Amino acid sequence: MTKQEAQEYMIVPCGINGEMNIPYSWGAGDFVGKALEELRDNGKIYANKCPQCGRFHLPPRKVCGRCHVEMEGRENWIEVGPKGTVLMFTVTVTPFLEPETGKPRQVPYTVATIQLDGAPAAFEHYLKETDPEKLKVGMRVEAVLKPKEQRRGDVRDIIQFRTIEK
Amino acid sequence: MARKVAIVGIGQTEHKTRHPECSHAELINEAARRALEDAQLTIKDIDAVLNGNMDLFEGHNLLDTITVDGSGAYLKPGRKMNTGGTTGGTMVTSAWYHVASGIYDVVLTIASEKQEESGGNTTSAIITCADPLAYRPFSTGAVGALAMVAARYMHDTGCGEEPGAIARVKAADNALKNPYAHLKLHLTLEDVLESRMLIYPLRLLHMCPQSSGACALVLASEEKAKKITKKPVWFKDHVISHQECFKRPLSPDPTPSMISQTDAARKLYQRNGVTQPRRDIDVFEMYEPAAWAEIAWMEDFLLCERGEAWKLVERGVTALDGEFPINPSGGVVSTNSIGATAMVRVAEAALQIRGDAGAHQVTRKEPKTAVATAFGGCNWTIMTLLSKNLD
Repeated sequence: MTKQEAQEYMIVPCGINGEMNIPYSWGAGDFVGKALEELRDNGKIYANKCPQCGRFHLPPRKVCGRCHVEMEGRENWIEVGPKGTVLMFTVTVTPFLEPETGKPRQVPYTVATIQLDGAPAAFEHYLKETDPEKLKVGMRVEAVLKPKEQRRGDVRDIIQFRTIEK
Repeated sequence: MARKVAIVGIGQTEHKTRHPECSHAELINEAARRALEDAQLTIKDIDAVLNGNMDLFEGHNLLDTITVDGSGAYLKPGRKMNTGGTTGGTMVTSAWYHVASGIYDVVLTIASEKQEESGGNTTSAIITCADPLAYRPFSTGAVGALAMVAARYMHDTGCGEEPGAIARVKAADNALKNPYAHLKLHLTLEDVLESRMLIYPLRLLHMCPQSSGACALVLASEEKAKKITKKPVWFKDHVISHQECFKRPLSPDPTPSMISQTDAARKLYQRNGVTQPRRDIDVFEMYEPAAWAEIAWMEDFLLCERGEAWKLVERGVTALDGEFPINPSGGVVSTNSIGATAMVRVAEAALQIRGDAGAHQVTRKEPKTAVATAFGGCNWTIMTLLSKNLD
């Protein structure tokens, strides 16, 4: 819904229109922060492993939610990707307002759960392919990174994943 | 030892796209007065008032700053809570703790949402629940998460699109019999199967509406409850379970199920001697924000084997006159005043046990036990077991 549509939607006997725009700065901490630095500076993606239950976390986290123990430090992180396998996907065809910009993302776009090579851990990102007929669970994809000078330590330094042609 | 607690008053407003005739405080007041009237009490009889909603849907942080006049909390102990989709369930369990502890005897709890105030941008507000560092940029809110549920279920079972449509038509048929339901639609399978795509493979008619409305309950101790009403509905047990994060992939097990739902079900059934849930529970009010969620989550809640739910839905087992009615109220796909929704599940389950559900009263048997579920937040679960009998 656009801002104008939202205002038209709000036809009430008496009411006011308003919006909130509050800047925030979200702290990444040592673990996610370091992982984002690696992505920015070296184009590498890392996961880490819980020393107790053996589960992998992507991006690396300091605490395992299941075991409540501190996770392994930087020296034991495992490089994953940039290739991976699609576990599941959805294709958004109806636009929503993005809360951080107040604007709709351009549709269609595909969001997929991707298991990166190197560790049994999955994360979510965009796929370039948006035709459901051409998307398959199990398809192989690889990360497309922004050029190094444009990367700023953000998960969006990976633009999207593209299909690996056989 | 916790005291026994009963629901002695039930009230809700009509749920609609908009309530232009009232402010949020006035909407809350309508539900509160209806619950008090049902209990034949006045606000003077109430020891504490708890209310809840999801603040960002109205863009008003700490709504209680403007709703005390509506809730009746004036000079009484009260608090306002927000736990996302589970808010209504959190309100019920918190009111229960207040009474079970022995500190208060009669407590009014209210849950509401005036979702119209975010101009239909519910998804934008929900996206702000996701981790801004790793997942918010790709979040498509609840619609996207439920599209993943639908995609995964259809992929794993190969059941095709039809079961989702059957579940949606069942919900619509039930909602037509519920005077408080929001969407009252005469739907056919074709209507659902041809409705426009929101997020592939989830269609518009698979998804819940954005509703505004409120629900309220009066809870009382055993001693008070027996004096207040001839038809108390007793809390037998509840389980609350949290899982790690809003986004499944953060859980490194890429499993399709809601871990917290299965965890809660296992604990609840084990503690209460439920060995065959479809036999031992008479009515199930599930928080299913999409038609496909009702099917997939029947399996998460251990109501059947993996891969079996869609077959039960096709056989009509979950219909109002079926062997195991799920959401005789029309469910969340018909009505979703989000903050209120999980309390509406408890209210509707209690009405079934009282035999007061009217046209949507289940027909096969007189329910003695009912389960209500709450979903939301970080994929959190609350399951509440209600009983007609005290022991």
